[in-house]
Order: sequence, then C-alpha cells, then structure tokens
Amino acid sequence: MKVYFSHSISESIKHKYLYLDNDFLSELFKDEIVLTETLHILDGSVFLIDPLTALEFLRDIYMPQQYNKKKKFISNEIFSPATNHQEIYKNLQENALLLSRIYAHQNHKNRSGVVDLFLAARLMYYQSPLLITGNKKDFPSCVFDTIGVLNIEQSGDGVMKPFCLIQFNRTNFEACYSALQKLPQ
Amino acid sequence: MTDYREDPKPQYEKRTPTQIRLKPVKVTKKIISDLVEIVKENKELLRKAETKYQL
Repeated sequence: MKVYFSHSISESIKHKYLYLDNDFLSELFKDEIVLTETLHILDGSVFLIDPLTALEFLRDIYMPQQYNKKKKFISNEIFSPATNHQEIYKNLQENALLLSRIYAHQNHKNRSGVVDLFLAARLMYYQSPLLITGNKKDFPSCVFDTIGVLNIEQSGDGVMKPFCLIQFNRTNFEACYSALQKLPQ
Repeated sequence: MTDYREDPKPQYEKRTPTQIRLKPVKVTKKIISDLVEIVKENKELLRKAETKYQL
C-alpha cells in the first residue's frame, strides 16, 4: 500500500484543526505503512476525533482483544477528542437540520447519514476546521470546498482510494440558506 | 435547538473545537512506533482469527 498526494496538502493543513472521518481512521488502522506515511504528510495539524466518529470506529466489535486494540489506538496522544457536551449538540442539531434541507433544495441526490450530518454541522459550527474523508459525496460542493486529495493505493487489487480534505464554505452556505428562505411559505 | 417547532438558524462558535486551545502534537518516532505496534498486533489477531475459522 502506498500514499500519493500533492505537496500543497501539507501547507494547507499546517496548524489547522483536522477532523478524521471513520473511514480514514480505519484506513490508518489497517496498514502500518499507510499509517506512517500519512502521519508524516499530515504532521503539523491537530488531529481531532468527533465523539460520533469514535463511536463508529468502535462499534460492532465484540472480541475484547480487538476492541482494546482499537481503543488504545484512538487514545494515543496524537488524537484529541473534540468537545462533547449537551449544549453543543443543541447547536449542532440546528445546523444539521438546516444543512439537510439545503442539500435537498440544492438537488443533492445522496442522502447523508445522521453521523455525517452532525460532522458537517461541526465543520460549520467552528471556525474553519478541516475534515479528511473518503465519502466526499456526504459533504456536497454546494456548501463544502475540497482543498486537497490524498490517494491510498489498496493492497491486492491496486485500486486507488481517494480521501478528500474538505472545508466549510460560509459564503456558499449563506447563499444557499438565503435561497431556502426565499421559498414560498 | 430546544424546540423543534422553531425554525433552525445557523449556529457559529468562536471558540476552538477542543476544551483548550491545542498545539499540534509533533509526530515523533515514539508515537509512530506505538501506533505501528498496535496495527501489527491487530493484523496478527485478525490473521489468527481467520486461520481458526478456516480450520
């Protein structure tokens, strides 16, 4: 397995808060070469784990040994847990509902899952954090910009799997929100 | 959103996404080796489980 990336990525993420989506985290957990290369590429940013991403990462594992390995992995000092309390969720819920309505209005065909909506809501809530995800379709271009792509070659079939670095675009969001508000009641 | 009967409004926060402002953690050899060890151990665990299943 090998990682291909544009060198501008390392500059784009310097000193930024970077949320890691579950698919990306799982990719790091799968292979030590990918893990090592990727951590060097993304060095310089603050790696954040959303509480719902942690839940996705740890869910469905019944073998205690494997569960403990995963738990130990995301508990490493390099990964920081994102703030998690009830007051934030009230605000995130509001953003998530708004985003889902905007996606639908903008003819975004794919229906994003609740976890992705909450992650998108977090990207919108805070000032310019980034997200790295393999599911770009859950973060549509009407509201989110892609600022870089990291490709991971899969072992065996050699298929290249892209992971996008995305960022909330407040100007585009405000335009979409305004269009939504203009709909006849 | 405390009441779903009200229309949602965009919510923005000026504070950082963590409890305190964090500096990036430097990716050190120690961090890499700790994580690589876990990944390798997990691979071995899965391999053993697979072998057991095949038998």
